Amino acid sequence: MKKKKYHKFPEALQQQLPLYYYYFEAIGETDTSLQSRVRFHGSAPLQTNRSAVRNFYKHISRML
Amino acid sequence: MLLILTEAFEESTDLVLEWLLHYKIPFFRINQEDKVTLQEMNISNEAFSFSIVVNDAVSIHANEITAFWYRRGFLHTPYSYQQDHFFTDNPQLAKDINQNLYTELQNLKQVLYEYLDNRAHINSFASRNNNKLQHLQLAAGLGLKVPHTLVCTQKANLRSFYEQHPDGIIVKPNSSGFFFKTEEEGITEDYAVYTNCISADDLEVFPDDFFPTLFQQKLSKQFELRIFYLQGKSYAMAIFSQQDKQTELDFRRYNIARPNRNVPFKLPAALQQKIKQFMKQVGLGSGSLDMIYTPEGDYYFLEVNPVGQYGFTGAAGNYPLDQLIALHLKQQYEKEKVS
Repeated sequence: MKKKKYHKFPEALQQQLPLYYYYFEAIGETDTSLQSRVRFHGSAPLQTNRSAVRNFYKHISRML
Repeated sequence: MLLILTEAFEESTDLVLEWLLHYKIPFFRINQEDKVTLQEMNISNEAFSFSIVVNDAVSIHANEITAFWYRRGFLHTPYSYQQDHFFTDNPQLAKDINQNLYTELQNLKQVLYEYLDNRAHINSFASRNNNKLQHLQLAAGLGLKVPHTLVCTQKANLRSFYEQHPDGIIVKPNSSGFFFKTEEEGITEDYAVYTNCISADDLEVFPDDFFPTLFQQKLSKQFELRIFYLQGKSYAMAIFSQQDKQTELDFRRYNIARPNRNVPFKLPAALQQKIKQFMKQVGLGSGSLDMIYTPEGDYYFLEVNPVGQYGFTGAAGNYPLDQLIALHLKQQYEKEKVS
């Protein structure tokens, strides 16, 4: 099994996030079905970091 | 006409539409990527009507819509409410105007969605969210077994929950999954979060206070169940994900080289009945449910995704789900047409 690569959010922000944000793992390079799943979920393609940030805040606001 | 709200890249919708073409049911598909503008909304003591224009090209009048399928997405109404550059000296006013325009638009859209929900329909915009907290609570109320779940904000509470469950605890979002992409030095990377087990080492790293987070007792499983529900009937498949380290916690960490074994599964009649009651209570005509079958022979409800993908359930179970959805939409359309 391939070793997982986790995304590291800035430490100051991490404390304001749900704890599952410690576990965002890199996907896609070798997993084409997941890439298509991302596409089907409508959350991607996220072409820029700006859209990633926008989706991030949308996601947070949905949780409260 | 049957109106369908979905996304542009949505394979299941494409396949259902092929069946609708076969059955000669008139339909119109709106994708969330399409531009939808309101032409008119008319309210009087005698009648209510509206008309919208899709992509500046096709006009749809309310009375043309006899049935509705909410598959995914939303009505994209791209009115601009970014006034900031007009009010550089008064940013608060710009903010207030933007908020006001946003509210006005949301009110309009709410009425459109409610009108569609009052047609013969499968699912609705209002019930699109996968709210695990709400669904777990309802499922438990109906007598379905659910894993012990805790939402907390303090490490002390989390530690106590961890100690209560010697088989382990997991962490996951309380809503649908979330994906994002990063770009650094020309390298793009996609990230997703799945179900993860919390270790004692993780507990040490976590801050004392954090954003409300969902934790759950980790269940042992013989297999997972993915169940597609459609108007009273359940179509289930068993996923043997626990035999693979990569997929044992979450089958969506697909093992491409050696995929999980997925087989059709017949649910006990009593469980089917409970699922039916549950789906009725949450107001869903269709959805994808996840359950666990434990070594002790218990069925545990995990969640329902109202807009989940069902293609793989249909393929593994040999269930003609696209055709069944199309047949149901056909029935709805014909019933409304006659009345």
